[in-house]
Amino acid sequence: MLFNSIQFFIFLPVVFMLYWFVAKRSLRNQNILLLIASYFFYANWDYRFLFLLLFSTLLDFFTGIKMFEAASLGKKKFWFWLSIGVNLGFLGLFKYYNFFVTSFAALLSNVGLQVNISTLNVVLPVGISFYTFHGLSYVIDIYYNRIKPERNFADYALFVSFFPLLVAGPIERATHLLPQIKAPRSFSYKKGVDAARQILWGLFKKVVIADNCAEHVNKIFGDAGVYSGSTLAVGALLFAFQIYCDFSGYSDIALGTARLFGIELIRNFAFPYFSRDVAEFWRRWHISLTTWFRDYLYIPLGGSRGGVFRKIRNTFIIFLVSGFWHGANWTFIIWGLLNAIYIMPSVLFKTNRNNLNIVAEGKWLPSFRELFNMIVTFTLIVFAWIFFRAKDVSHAFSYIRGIFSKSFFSVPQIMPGYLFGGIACLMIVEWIGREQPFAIARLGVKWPAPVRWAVYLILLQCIISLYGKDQQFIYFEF
Amino acid sequence: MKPFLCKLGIFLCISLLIWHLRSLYLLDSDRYKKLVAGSEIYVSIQKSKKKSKSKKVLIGDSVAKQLFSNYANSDGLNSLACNQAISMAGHFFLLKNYLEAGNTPDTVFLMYGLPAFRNNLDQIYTYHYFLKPFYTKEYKGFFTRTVKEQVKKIPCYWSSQFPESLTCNWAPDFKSKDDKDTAMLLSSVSLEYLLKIKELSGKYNFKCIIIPDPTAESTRQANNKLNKTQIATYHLTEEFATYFDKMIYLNDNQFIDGIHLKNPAPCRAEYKKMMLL
Repeated sequence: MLFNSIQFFIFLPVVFMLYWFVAKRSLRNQNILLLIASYFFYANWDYRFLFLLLFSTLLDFFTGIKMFEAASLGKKKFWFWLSIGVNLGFLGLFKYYNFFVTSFAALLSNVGLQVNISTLNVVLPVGISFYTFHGLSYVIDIYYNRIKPERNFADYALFVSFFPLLVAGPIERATHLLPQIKAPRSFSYKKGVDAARQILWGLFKKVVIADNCAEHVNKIFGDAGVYSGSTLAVGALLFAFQIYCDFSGYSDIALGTARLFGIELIRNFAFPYFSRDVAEFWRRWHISLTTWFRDYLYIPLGGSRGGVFRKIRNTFIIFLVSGFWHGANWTFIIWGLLNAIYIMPSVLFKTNRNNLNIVAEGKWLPSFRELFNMIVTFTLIVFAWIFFRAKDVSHAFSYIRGIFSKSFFSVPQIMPGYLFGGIACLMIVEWIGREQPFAIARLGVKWPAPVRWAVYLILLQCIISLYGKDQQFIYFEF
Repeated sequence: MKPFLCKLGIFLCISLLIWHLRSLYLLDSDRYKKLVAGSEIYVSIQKSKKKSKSKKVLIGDSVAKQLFSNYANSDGLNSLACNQAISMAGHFFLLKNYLEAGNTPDTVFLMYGLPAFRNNLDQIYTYHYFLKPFYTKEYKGFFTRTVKEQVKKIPCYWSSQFPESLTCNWAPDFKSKDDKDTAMLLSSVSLEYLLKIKELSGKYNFKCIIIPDPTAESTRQANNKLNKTQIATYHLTEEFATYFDKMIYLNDNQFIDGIHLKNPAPCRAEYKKMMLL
């Protein structure tokens, strides 16, 4: 069930009431309730893949204990690589088998060899990239003795399958989430209100902005050949906001929902479009994934230590793997490559940690230089998004050629003024709230309650009146 | 917890009240018909109840609407084409409205793509495109048993006339579990209402001609394999007389999505000739 569906609006209150009123006396009961709810939530997508989720959970639970109890390093490595191999094997099979087979066949046909290939007609299990990475981080942390294995299967299973983050993250760490699962939770009014506000804001971004952008993006990208360069540029711009509002909206709903149950998840977005350089963008976009790759791939490879060649190599590996994680298509790999190229100068010249603070912190407006840097960074990111959205590489290149044609200076054929107005309002609110965990975290806290409520009511009425465009969350496809 | 639940409850009640009042306003002013998805259906329904000088009328799917928009008025051809999602039942109702408004066409063109004939009110769009406009007292009396059975399979079908439902784009998540014989040309609903349209043609003395949408070349083989025995079995030979012969196959790159045309203008001229306009 989608977060913006009627079923979820029935599911959530039922689980909430059972959690705080029926199971409240026992942490164990609360966790079991959440686990059952999470499996029910996942089964609603496709019950067949529950078995895969359960298998992956059992495997990592079992191998985690075996690694910890291993008498020798050899046995420890055996269990470690078993878990890694099986988890990545399933991910590879469901997500990448057809890509590799068809790419290999295409490569051979380019050198004159025709091969008969058979691809698998498989449905990609929802959330497989996310829950696989949950499990992998757990196993890797045990291997490096950062944590001890969890002995309670229900608690571990809840860590892997907690429904707010099950299908599209954030990708949690055992060190962050497991202690919360094992600790008693209490409800606080402030947290409840924060949670509700974050869910409201997430829904607004998804339903009002992302889904409305999607309508135009699908039209423009779907038939790029008939549109002018300026329209194609509008399409790319709208996609940038679609993917941001879709994914960060989902994350806001996930974080807010988890907070309703007394659990704090990792923040996943920190206003990335206000970044002053690409390195900062990657510290603010899909934070849980980028930190996962940093901690489990980049640093073990040597990180930025060592010579120039190693730095370049590691940076390219991270971004290529990140691109590949997003999907089995050359477009995602090129998207990753492009971002690696963008970030390379700052890595080589060691300026990648220049902008660690919040832009124009404590001020109303950015400086001219900050504004210029934000615009340049945003433009580079939007350009890269073209590859992310295009259906294949040739589509991406023809789209780009279309943008940079004479018709770039013509009036766009599609220019939804109301939508750009909505995006402008969104960005203003996000700018004002950029020092907060989410845009409306502190919005109106000093206003009179009727005024604050009026704002919430307007947001909710916008969501209700624009609901129903039926666009699934983008990151569910990963 | 109690203050949180109380305040949340009050907030949600106020929201629901505002939503209800807004829905009533949109219903009362008919503004919702312009705001919701599928607004073209309401345009067709409204147009079907008006008197027209045209002797030729077109009912059909969204490709027919691309070629001959129902938003335009023409003495030559009165287009009520909107969307296949309303099913043949919906098109029957449009035609029935048109005739009961005192119009006397001599020819009714039904322009339909082959996939549209398989609409058995079992689509994800059925709630929004059929139930919302047609599950009313005005039309329910003319539902066949098949339509009634199909409607009952849709979750929350009973909510389709609620003001809140009518004035928004929400529809329940519906995946039909019916077995579909994709080799058959006509679904039960399409067949039943085609026969009703045929009855109307006898009663109101007009000729009903079924013409095809422009079709993607890649579908030619599958189309040729379709089982067309229903046409003869149910005496629809006259209505389908030129359907397959007149099918215009176009290169796949002429279509946005395999069904809708990128540029309807060249085809429009062909169809005008076909329809003797």
